[in-house]
This record gives sequence, structure tokens and C-alpha cells, in this order.
Amino acid sequence: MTAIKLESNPPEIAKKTVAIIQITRIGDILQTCHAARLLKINHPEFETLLVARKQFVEPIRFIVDQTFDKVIELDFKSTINLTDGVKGSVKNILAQVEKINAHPISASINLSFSKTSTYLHSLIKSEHKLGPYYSQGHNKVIQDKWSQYLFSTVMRGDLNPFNLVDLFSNIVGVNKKSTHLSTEEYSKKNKNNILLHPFASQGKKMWQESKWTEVIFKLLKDNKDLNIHIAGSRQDEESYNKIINNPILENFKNKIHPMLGLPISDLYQKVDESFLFIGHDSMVSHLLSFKNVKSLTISLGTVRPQETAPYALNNYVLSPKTKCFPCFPDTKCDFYQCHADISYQAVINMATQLLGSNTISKEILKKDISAFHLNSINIDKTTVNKVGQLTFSNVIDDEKSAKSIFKDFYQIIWSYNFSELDLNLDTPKFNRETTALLKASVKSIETLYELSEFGKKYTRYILEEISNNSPNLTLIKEHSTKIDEIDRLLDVLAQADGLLGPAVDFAKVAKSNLHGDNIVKLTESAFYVYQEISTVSSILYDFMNSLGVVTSSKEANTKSVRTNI
Amino acid sequence: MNSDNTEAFKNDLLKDLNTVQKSLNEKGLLTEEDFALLLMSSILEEEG
Repeated sequence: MTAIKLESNPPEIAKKTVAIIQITRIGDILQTCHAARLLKINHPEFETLLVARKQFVEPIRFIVDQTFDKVIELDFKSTINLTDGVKGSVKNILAQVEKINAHPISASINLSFSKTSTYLHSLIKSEHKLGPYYSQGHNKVIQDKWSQYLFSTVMRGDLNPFNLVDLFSNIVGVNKKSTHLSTEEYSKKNKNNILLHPFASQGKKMWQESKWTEVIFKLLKDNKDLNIHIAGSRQDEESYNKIINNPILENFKNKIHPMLGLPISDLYQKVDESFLFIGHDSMVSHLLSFKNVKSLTISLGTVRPQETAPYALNNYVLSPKTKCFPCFPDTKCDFYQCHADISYQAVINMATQLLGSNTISKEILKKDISAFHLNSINIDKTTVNKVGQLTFSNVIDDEKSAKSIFKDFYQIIWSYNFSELDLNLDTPKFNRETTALLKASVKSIETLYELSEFGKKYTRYILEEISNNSPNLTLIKEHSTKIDEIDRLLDVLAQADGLLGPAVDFAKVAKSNLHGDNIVKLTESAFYVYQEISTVSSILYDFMNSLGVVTSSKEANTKSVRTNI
Repeated sequence: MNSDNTEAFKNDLLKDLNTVQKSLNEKGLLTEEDFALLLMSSILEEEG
């Protein structure tokens, strides 16, 4: 009787909880929401829990609550205080962590990659951990390949071919085929409103005010029905006044509407299909990507355009071709050449086209803008490839640069290597200058291959020595010294040819996260890292061969590496 | 904010961080409280 009763009323199975840690700023939380939305579509059976800082998550709860089942707001500001002292504050922190651990977490995923989030992740009790955390012995651990890749590449250079949302989704592990990035246009063909966000968190990422004044003046002069709404925080007021109080805008004041300090939810509600968004890479552009408001993002300074482009289709990103762009937060810069390389004439032309047609025509740009202004910029349109990754399609240049070609190669390699995603990309067109750069890189690829093969050889020697009845410790030490030398040479190689930086950087992070708890397993794991880099270099070589840039320099180069080791 | 209290907090924090470092050197393992202290130090560092 009891058995029959149980069968007819099966016990409800508790949903597995996936906790995502994102304790950085609003823009990062919004990008995390895109990835979490994909997780929900792919795995509705999981309960999703967001761990975020109160000050950043509170203003965007209206988006977050649509994506996550539960949200835990961490309030570090009130937790750490002088009244409670150090011991009391530690207790307060543990009490906050306890709120997270009250949930039975199957997997915790740290998408913040800061030291603080790494410590926090160490305190979270979960069956599986993805993304960085500290072991009990205080070693940083990053187990999964996509997190290792993210850690090794983001903010190191401009050769990362993935948008941050796609990287987050890859770490979370979702299939993106036909599940996101609607191809439908949200914005009307003819728009009579512009939401302008001419501010950024750093001066490097922000155009000077006078340029924005020119853009506003020309757009309002040429478009009688146009209204420009300027969004920003209360701290942007000084900059706002500099833009607006210019005498040339005197007759247009009734067409300019300040929206400084407006709650984010109100801003989101106000911006409808009659709006075009123009601004720097910021939280606002990520916010509007949830509606797919037509946007033109101007990337400057430290911004990696493809990495942080708003995650929506058929939008445009304008960036300079300046050699030092993108730079790093600690790079000193007095002149801001990348700001000068983007002309306000180009921005006005692009904005005018988008206001009236939702697209930017290369022909119109070439007709209306001088070659001098066009040659110094990249205009990219966001598209999606067959595996659902957000990609850039260059609007004005048919010929690709060496960096762009390598980015494509890396996109194919990493997608297959880490997720077995098969990508087919068209054979790129390139000019003589790029041919010379690619030819120079062939030699570096050969060196990378040789070095990784030497790495395999010496790790194998160590394994063979350990397997002997009486291992010779002096020999093991000698082989290990050789491996250190190989790693140093890999660093030198990456410095000499930046195009190979991503492969070397990934090897470095993977080698610092070897699997195993004894010397045999760790050495085996090191062997596989060298094997992986050897494969990467072989594929890169094959790609270069298919482009017709490989000459018969391999033999000579191989010899030179061998004499160095 | 009282600067004397801030100074005392800073000194206590440094003292406790030293204790954690010593304990890590001796035992090779960190406790939950140690991680919470390191987390707090990292938050304060981030916020300047």
C-alpha cells in the first residue's frame, strides 16, 4: 500500500542551485545577466542565484530579477566598520557569507576575477567551483579552461576574439545556437530622439567636451525634429555644463534635455524605439542592449571594442586605428592620440545615417567623409556566427589587418579546443603590409612549436626518471631547469611577437593551475599543456600555409632554436 | 570618522594579517576566519 502511494505521489526533487558571483560594477552585472539568461533558456531545471554588491545591483534589480531566481546583496560598507573593530567586522563578513551558504549550492561560478571575489569564492560552500578561488593552502586555483583563458587574455591585449558575455556563457557552459540575439529590429527606421551618454569612468575613455558640442550642434541644426537627451550621473554635471554652455548651442537649448542622476529604471523605461543611443562604452550601452536600442558606441583608451560591445545585434562600434589603442589603465598618456583619430565629422555622418535608416552605408561614408578621417577609424557592426557568438563585421575595410586575421584564427582554435565548437570563417583579404607581418609571424609560430615540443620532451624525461627504481634527483633537477628556461624563452617570444601573446599567456595560466597532488600527476599535466600549445602552433602554421605566407624558413629556424636550448 | 579609531583599526588589521601569514607558514592551511580577514583586507585595499 505504502509503495503504491509513493509511486502516485513522487517526492518533489529539489532544484539544483547555480550561484554566480559578480561583485564588480553595474555594467559587469548586466553582462552577467545576458549569460544567466542563456543559462535559464538552456537549463530551466536549475535555480540561479546571483551574489552581487548591494550598491551595484540595487539600481538594476528590475533587470536582474527577470533573470535570476534569487539575489543576495552583499553590503560590505556596513559590514566593515570601526565600531565593530577588526574581529567584529570579520564576524559580520562571515554572517553575510552564511546567507549564501544557507543555499545548497551545486556549482558556484566566479565571473568577477578580482582578488576580493576570489577570496569570497573560497568561502562559498559548493560541490563544484568554476572561476578563480583560493585553495586552503592559499594558492589561486582556476580549474576550467574558459576561466583560464579569460584570466590570461582579458585586459592583456587586443587579440581576444570573444565578447565578454560569450566568455561568461562559455564558462557557465551553455549552448547558444538559436537561443539569443534576436535578429528583429527594435528601433524605428526614422528616429527623432538621441540618448547621448558622453561620459565615462576614466578620462582616457571619454572624448573631450568640445567634440560633443560640435556633434550636438550639427545634428540639431540638420534635424529639425530631433531632441537630444543627455544621460549621466550627478558627478557628470561639470562636464555636462561644459558641453551645453557653449555659445553655439544657445539657440538649441529647448532641444537638449538633461537626464543626469535619473534612476536607471526610469532611464530604461523612457528610452523607446524612437531613440538612437550614442555614447562611450559604459553601463548605459549594456543596459539598452536588453531592448536592442540602436546604438553607436565610441570606444577609446583602454576599451577593447569587441570584448565589451553591447550584446545585441546590428549595432555599431566606432574605434580608432591608433597604434597604441587599446592601452592599459596604468599607461601614461598626455596627448590622447586615439581621441584625435576619431573625427566628429565621422560621428555626425554615422549618427545621421542611423537616425534615418538603422544602418550605416559604406558608400555614403566614402562619399561624405574625407579619406583622411576614414583611414584612421574602424567601424564595426555586431553580427552573430553560426555557434551564437557575437562577432564584428568591418563596415569600411574589406582587407583585414594581421591582428584581425590572428583574432579569427584564435576564435576557431579556442572555440574548438575548449568547447569543441566547429567554426568556418572566410579566407581573409589582406594587403602587402599585412603579408609582411604575417610572414614574420610564421617564424615565431615555428619557434613556438619547437619550444612546446622541447617542453614535452623534458617533462617526459622527468616522468621516465621518476618511474625508475631509483630516480636520479640531480637529473630531475636538470630537466626541471630546462623547463624553466623554455618558459622564459616563451615569454621572450611573446614579447618579440605580440601576435603569439594569447597562446603563451594561456600556457602560463594553465601551467600555474596544473592538476594533481603528486609530482607524477603534475608533470603529466604540464606535458599536456605543452602538447596543447604545440597543437595550437601547428594549427596556426596550417592556417598561415593556407594563406600562402609560409616560405621555406622552417629548417633554418628550427636549427637556431635547437642551438639555444 | 575618528582618525584615532581608524589608526587602531588599521593596526589591528595588520597584526591579524601577520598572524594569518605566520599560521599559513606553519600549518600550510587557512581557516574560514583567515579567509574572511583576507577578504576584508582586499575590500579595503580596493576601496582605497
